[in-house]
Amino acid sequence: MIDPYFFRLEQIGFPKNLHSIVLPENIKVYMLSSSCKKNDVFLYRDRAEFALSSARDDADVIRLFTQLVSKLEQCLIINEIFDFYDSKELHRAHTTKIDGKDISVYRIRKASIRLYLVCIGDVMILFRLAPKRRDKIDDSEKMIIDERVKAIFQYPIESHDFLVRLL
Amino acid sequence: MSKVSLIGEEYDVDMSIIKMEQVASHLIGLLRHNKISRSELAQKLGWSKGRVTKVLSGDVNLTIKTITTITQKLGYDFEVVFHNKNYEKPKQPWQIDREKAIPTPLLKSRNIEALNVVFQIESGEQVVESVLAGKEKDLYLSISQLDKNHHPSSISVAQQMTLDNKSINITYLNHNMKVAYHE
Repeated sequence: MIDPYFFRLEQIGFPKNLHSIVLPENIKVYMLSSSCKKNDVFLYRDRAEFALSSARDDADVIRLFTQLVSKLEQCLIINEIFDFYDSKELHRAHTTKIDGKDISVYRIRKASIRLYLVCIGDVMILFRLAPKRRDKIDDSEKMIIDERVKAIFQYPIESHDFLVRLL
Repeated sequence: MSKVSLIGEEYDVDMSIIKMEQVASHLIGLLRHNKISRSELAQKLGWSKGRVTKVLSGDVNLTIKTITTITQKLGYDFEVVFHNKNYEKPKQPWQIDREKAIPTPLLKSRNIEALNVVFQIESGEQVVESVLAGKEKDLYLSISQLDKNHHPSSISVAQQMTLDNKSINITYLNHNMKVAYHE
C-alpha cells in the first residue's frame, strides 16, 4: 500500500525566464508522491520511465503541463477547468471503487501523453503520467490507477493526516 | 532552444511551444469570458468546428491574422506586452473583473491568539460572493440594527464593547471607515 504524500503543483518547476506559476488562491492542485522526497512524485517517476523512448514525448509533456497551468491560472474554482478543455481533451477515463463508492478518474490528453487525475471537492490531484500506446486502458494500467487512487483517498482532504503529508 | 526545468528534469525546448499553449488557453479564456461556445465561434467566423478546435488546441502556431480575426469578432483588441520577473504579469479582462469582485474586508479584528480565529466583517453581498466562489467561512456572525424582534441569542454589541475591554483589537483596513480603535 502506498503511503501517500502530496506536493503542490507550483513545485513542478517552470521555464526560468518566465513568470513562476501563480495559481489563484482557491485552486488547489497537488501531485501524489510515495514519500516526502520530490523525486518520488509519481509524475516524476512515470516521466523517467518513458523519457528515453521518445524525444517527441519530452515536448508533449511540457506542452501538456503548460496548457494545464495556463488554464488553471484562469479558473476561479477547480471545476471550471472542465470548461477549458473539450470532451476529447479532458474526460472521465476510469472508475475506481473504494468502499463501494465510485471514484471518477479523469484523463487529460495531449498528443500521445495522458495525465490522470481525480477531483475531490475543490482539490485536484494529479497521479499518473503515461504515454498512450493503446486505445484502451489495459488491466495493468487499471491496477496502477486503482492503487494510486486508493492511496489518494486514504486520508480525508483537509484532515490532519492529509495536511501533514501536503508538502 | 531554452533550458526548461520541468518534472524533475531539465530539457532543451523550443519556447515557442510554451507560448503557443498559453495563447490558445487565453483565447479559450476570452471565449468563456464572453460566454461563447466553440460552436458559436465557428458559426460567427464561418469556420468549421474542427478548425476552431484546432486553433484552440495549442498545437498550432497561430498567426497574428488568426488572433486578430477571433479577438475582433469577440469585440476585443490585443497588444503584445513584454514582461519578465521585474515587471508585473499583464492581466486579462476576466482576471481584472474577478479581482474587482473579490470582497475586501472592511474591518478585521484578531482576538487573543489562544482562540486562533480571525473575525472579519463583510457585507451580505460579500458573503454571497464568497459562498459562490467556494470560499465560505466555517461560521458567520451577523450584525444588524437592534430592534424589538431580535433573536433571543442576539447580543447587544453596544453594551458589550467598552473602552475598558483590553481583549479587543480592531485594525483599519478601509481608511474611509470611521471605527473607534480599542486596545
